[in-house]
Amino acid sequence: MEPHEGFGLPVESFPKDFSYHGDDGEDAVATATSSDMKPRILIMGLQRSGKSSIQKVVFHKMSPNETLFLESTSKIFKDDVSNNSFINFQIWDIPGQIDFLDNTFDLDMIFGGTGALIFVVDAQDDYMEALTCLHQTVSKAFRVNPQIKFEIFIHKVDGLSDDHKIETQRDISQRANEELHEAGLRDLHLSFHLTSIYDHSIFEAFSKVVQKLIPQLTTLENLLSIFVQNSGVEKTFLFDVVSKIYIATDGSPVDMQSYELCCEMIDVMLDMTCIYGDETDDGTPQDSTCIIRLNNTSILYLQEVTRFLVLVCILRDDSFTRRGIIDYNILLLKKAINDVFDVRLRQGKQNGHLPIEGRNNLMQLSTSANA
Amino acid sequence: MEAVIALCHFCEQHGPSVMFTCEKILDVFQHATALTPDVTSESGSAETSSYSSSVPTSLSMDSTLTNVGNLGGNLRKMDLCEACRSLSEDDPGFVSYDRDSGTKFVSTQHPHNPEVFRLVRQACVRSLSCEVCPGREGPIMFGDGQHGYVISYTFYVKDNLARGLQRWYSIICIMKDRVFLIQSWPFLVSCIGNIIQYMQSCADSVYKIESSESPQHKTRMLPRVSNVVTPHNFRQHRGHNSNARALIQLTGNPELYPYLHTAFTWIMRACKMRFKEKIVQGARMDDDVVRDEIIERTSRSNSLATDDIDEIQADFNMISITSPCSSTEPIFTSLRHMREVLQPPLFKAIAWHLVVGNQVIWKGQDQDLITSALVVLKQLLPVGCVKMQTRSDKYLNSYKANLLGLTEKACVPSHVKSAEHFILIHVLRKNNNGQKFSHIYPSLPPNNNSMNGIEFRVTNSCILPEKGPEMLNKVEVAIANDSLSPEVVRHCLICLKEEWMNKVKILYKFTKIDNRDKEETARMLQGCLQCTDDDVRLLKFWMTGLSSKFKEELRQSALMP
Repeated sequence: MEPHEGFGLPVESFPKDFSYHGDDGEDAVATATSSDMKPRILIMGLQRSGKSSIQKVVFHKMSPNETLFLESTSKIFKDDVSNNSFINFQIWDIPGQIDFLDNTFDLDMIFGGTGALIFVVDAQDDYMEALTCLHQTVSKAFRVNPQIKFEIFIHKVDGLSDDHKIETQRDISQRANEELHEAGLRDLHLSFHLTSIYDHSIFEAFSKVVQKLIPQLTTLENLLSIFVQNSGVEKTFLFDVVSKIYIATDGSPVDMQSYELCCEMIDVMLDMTCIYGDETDDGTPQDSTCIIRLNNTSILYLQEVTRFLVLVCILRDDSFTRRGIIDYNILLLKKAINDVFDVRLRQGKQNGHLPIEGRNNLMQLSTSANA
Repeated sequence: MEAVIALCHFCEQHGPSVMFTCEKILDVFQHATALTPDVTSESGSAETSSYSSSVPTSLSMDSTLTNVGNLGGNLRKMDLCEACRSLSEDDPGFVSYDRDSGTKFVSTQHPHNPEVFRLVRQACVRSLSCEVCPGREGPIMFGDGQHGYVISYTFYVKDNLARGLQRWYSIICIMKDRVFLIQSWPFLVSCIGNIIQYMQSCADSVYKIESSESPQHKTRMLPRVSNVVTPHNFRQHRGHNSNARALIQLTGNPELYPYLHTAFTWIMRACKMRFKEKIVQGARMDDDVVRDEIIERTSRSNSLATDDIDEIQADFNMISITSPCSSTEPIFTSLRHMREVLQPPLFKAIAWHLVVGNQVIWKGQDQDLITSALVVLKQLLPVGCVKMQTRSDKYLNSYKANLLGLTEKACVPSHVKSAEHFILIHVLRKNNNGQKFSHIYPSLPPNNNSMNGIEFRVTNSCILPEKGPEMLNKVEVAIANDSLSPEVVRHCLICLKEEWMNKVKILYKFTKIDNRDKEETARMLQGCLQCTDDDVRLLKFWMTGLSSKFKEELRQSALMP
């Protein structure tokens, strides 16, 4: 990675539509004009399957118990998560009672700009009806826009025993895939996630959904893997602070417990920042750092990359003796991450225009990022 | 369909659904059905997509019953849950007749006409699931020409068992007439608001009782803790634990739907009665007013026989005079014709004398010609200024007849001749026609004109001012322009007369009612109305033609400030 003049001014050097900006007017205008091209995540499913709850818990910090008293959603709820978060998406919460596959609705409009479609299946309920609906929705959406990533959330699994979870997932995926197979839609790939709003599984699942929509993902993962290898760190995550979704992690498998630990650490940090931190919310990095020693000789080490992104590492007690090396590596890593996103911006500038069509742009940039 | 008011609900299971529709149906359709009784027997199947042929929707009460039965089969197959249903399956609905206007108000669960149902359904979905009302509860308006225009009032009804402890309803009012709907907005919104308030207060009291007996919080929280899913109870079935409840239950008011029917009916009826459509004609023209006054005066005085009245009325209509005198005798058919025959300078002189109030005398043997000339010339003046005497053996004064036709016997007295306030046209018939005439008027097409051999000798001692009244100049321009059709010229004349009569009114008010002095009057005439001296002469003459009604009104208004 070459150092270049853009570094040091992260506010400018980040792409507009991975909005990493403060609230200054210019950027506000830019986001307003580019708001239509934000990748969109649709949340669909039958009524009472938990769509609104997911959206509220993940993006609005609603406590899971409060979701019991949500009223049924009657309109498409468009939630813009770009303003206070690193990820810049629109979440569309779609009421389950309305059949949006009806001809009176503009399918191109609904599915056209969609990056991912999350279909929520209530695992505590008879899911046969949901599977029929799933099949219809997915096949229709695929026909309109084959680029959509289909994610199936097998939801409300908190009440199920572990065996049951596995059994349910197997059953649902088998049935769903069989139906698709029969319909001849072989290119259509479904991903399944077991989720619940009562633990961190929903965050994890959402992380995976979001990651698929980030074109720089492979580069980021490689960077993190290199960092892990050279710093004696066990596991590292790159987190979006506000939603606690992880943007990327290193190559080693994700352990649910370590993810939860990291989430909680971010909560602690956020709470501290909210109470005692600098009140000016202008998006400038505050260089927050946080170290927590656990009683099992592990250490959680958090470093802020940008205002909206933090790097969280899990490492052994003895590795932390070489803290200098780790800090230096983190510094390099930050530069590299900045570079990754800066490539996009330069690409846009060379073309003489800001990216307009979301998907094309994402593909274009992923190639450049890989190069 | 003139208007439809419907109650809609966002059902937790089925989404937006139409619950209760009140339709206003014109009885015209009913008459149509009465003529074709066959339709009644197969009302259900006779429905087609176009509205005009969907007569069966507006059958009388008895046939409505059968109608519901037939059509219900299709509709009720859709599972309507407790919450989506207003009237039970065997309830045909309500009908109210408005005998005064011959309309009918029909309330049912769903409109029977598929076309209306489509509109209501569309509006219902939009009202509950698409359009966003700021503050969620409240009125909004949307719509287009194709799907009708809709005022939608969305509101919550408290329900102890519902998700979020409330249910989501809306009352929509659909009309095709956008302007009318907008005009009715304040009325409709306040009326619908009252209905909603009533329903909400009913529901609130029920909710208070229920929530104190069994708060939802507890019942909802407990199962989550205790409800460990085992293989046995793992698969619950959707709908078994449905919390759907009918609106009657929520409000605790079994008479809710009769109430809604009467309320909706009243709203639609009152809404219609608030406005009356009327074609605005504008003020009546002065000529018409004056004409009516003259006719009234003459008939009241009774001094004239009915024939005379007819004659007067006929007089006003030029065509009735001219048409009987057909081809054989030479006559003037229009101002344009007269101008051609007499040549513009002479015509202008006659017209000038006429409009400023001088006497125009035609003398000769050709009675028809003279009459036609007078009738044609009459058009230049407002009706009130015309005093016409088509045939007289002796001279009449100017104030008795400013358009005077004299026979050969009559002679004009010398004192009149010495004055300048008249123009005399002597019509002489010459026997040696042809050569000489066409020599003098070469521009006239020889055969086309029946005026050959007639000479018009003019006696007039007055010199015309160079620039006559503006009104006259404009009339000339219009007549001279051949590209304008006679009809256009006629309208042009009417307009010009109206315009100048309006100025006359101003002058009248200024001088006679307000009694301003001469200086002020002159200033007003020149400054505001831009009148020349000639114009002023015209105005003063025309003032005599003002309608007495107008004068009376002005005097009244002056007396009562």
